[in-house]
Amino acid sequence: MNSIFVNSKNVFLDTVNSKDYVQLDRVSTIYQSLKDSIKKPLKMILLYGKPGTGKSMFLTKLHHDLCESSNIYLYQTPILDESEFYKTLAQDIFQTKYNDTLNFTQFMKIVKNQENQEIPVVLLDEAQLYSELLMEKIRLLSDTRSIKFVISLHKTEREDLIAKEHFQTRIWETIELENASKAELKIYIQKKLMKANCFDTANMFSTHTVKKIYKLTHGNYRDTNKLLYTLFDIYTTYEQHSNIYPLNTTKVPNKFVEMAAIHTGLIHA
Amino acid sequence: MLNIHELEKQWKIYKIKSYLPYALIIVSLSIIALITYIFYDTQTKTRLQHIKKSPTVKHVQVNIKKIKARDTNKTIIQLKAKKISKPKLQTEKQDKLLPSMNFMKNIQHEAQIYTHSSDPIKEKTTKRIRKKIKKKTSTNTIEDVRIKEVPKIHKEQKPDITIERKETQNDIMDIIKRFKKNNNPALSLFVAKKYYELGKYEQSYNYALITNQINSNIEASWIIFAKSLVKLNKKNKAIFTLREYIKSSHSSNAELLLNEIKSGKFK
Ligand SMILES: Nc1ncnc2c1ncn2[C@@H]1O[C@H](COP(=O)(O)OP(=O)(O)OP(=O)(O)O)[C@@H](O)[C@H]1O
Ligand SMILES: [Mg+2]
Repeated sequence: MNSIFVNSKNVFLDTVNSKDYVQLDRVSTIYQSLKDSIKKPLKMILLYGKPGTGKSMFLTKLHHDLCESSNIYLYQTPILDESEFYKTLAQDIFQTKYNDTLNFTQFMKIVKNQENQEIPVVLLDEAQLYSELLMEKIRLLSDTRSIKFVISLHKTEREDLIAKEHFQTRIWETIELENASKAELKIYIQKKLMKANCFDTANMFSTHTVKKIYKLTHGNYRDTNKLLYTLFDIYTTYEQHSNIYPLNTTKVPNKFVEMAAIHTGLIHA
Repeated sequence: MLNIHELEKQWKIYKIKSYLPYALIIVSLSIIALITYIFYDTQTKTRLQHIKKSPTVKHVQVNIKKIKARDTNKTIIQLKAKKISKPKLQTEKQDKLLPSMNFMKNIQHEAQIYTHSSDPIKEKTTKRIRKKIKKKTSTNTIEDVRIKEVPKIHKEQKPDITIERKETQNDIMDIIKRFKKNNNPALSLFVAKKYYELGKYEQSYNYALITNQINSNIEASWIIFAKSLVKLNKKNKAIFTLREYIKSSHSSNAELLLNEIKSGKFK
């Protein structure tokens, strides 16, 4: 089955893939400034924002763009065991393999012995999952200026506190990612669909429909993805049920958006 | 796979729920409107009944009995006439003119209520409206009791009254309106005469009395007063009043009428 609705549905699967990255003005500026910051002699960069604001996507894209030209490493899922963490970094950055456990002092020695021309950049996603102890070690590592860390954090009250206590004095740059505005949301949806050659469905998202979606998702990328995935799921279902409902690609009925919102739990019936 | 039928059901429930508050507001507003309508409707009805129960003829009887019992000295009679006529004037005003005004007020209240009910803060205002209604009704009853306040309100409401009654007694009401402004006995006498012509003897009696109170030397007023009494089957009182008047005024017209009444020529 290769319907336009199925294709459109798959566009909104909640995956993080640099290929799917959509260029949005605000995100692009942030992206550029982060790229510049990496080149600057900063110790640490903190990237934070509410869940679903595109932090993982951002890091993935950054890694994808820079991995060929620079010494950059991305860890999407945190390595929670301290020894494992050092071992992984030692192997990836310094090509040093360890079979035994590796402690902080030993790893510090390796880091200091390196005389790299270029300081390696380590991107740590989901950093709120690291223990406070390991976080403190990461801070000490970055103080040596031998490794540069870009840390991505959920922004909640608790994590705000972590950000303040652990990084305030040491972080040289903080970058916040936010939900999309109405205009950005429209661009986001349409560009995403057009990337997958779903031009007809991209056209369905008038300003009115986007407004309705914005009301429900507040411009959160993940919520929007979920909503639109369900929306096109509804379309496909109607399509398969021999057109119980007259389907067209001129506009999205409010009913469908509301049904999708009920299904995804954005509104409670 | 999406369970589309279940989802449609949920969506319908959601839609109904989202329209429910609006439906409730509309229903409650119409109920309030209905209640206020019924409330004022019954109020005006009871007021009309109240008027019917207290005809002015009774006052006339009582007052003239009093005069009879007393000394027939000229000056005393004049004083009495003034004293007696005062409360009568007031009761007359109260009984005859208040109802139409209350009716007008009610209309105004209702108008106020309707403008209030279009207020966006619906729940709060409905409460306020109810309070207002209560307040307004209480003031209504107070107005009935406090006779002295009545004239003030008359002035405020005058234009409304004429509009109300124009359908039936156009010119009379116009004159009454003017009379209330300047208290000119010529106008009240005119009204008394008009009412007499229309066969409304209670009214003609009342306005003749008002005229006499303002100026006790108008012959035509005393004549209308006596004639009205005869028409109201108070022949004896008419004769008595005329005699008293003749004593002070020596009016030949009054004497003529007195003879006619006595002989039964005037009925
Ligand atoms: N610029 C973008 N272009 C394309 N897709 C994006 C973009 N930004 C966000 N998304 C999409 O939004 C979804 C959520 O983004 P992402 O997973 O990066 O959020 P997050 O901030 O990392 O959330 P969390 O804090 O829960 O990890 C992803 O599926 C991603 O595809
Ligand atoms: Mg993430």
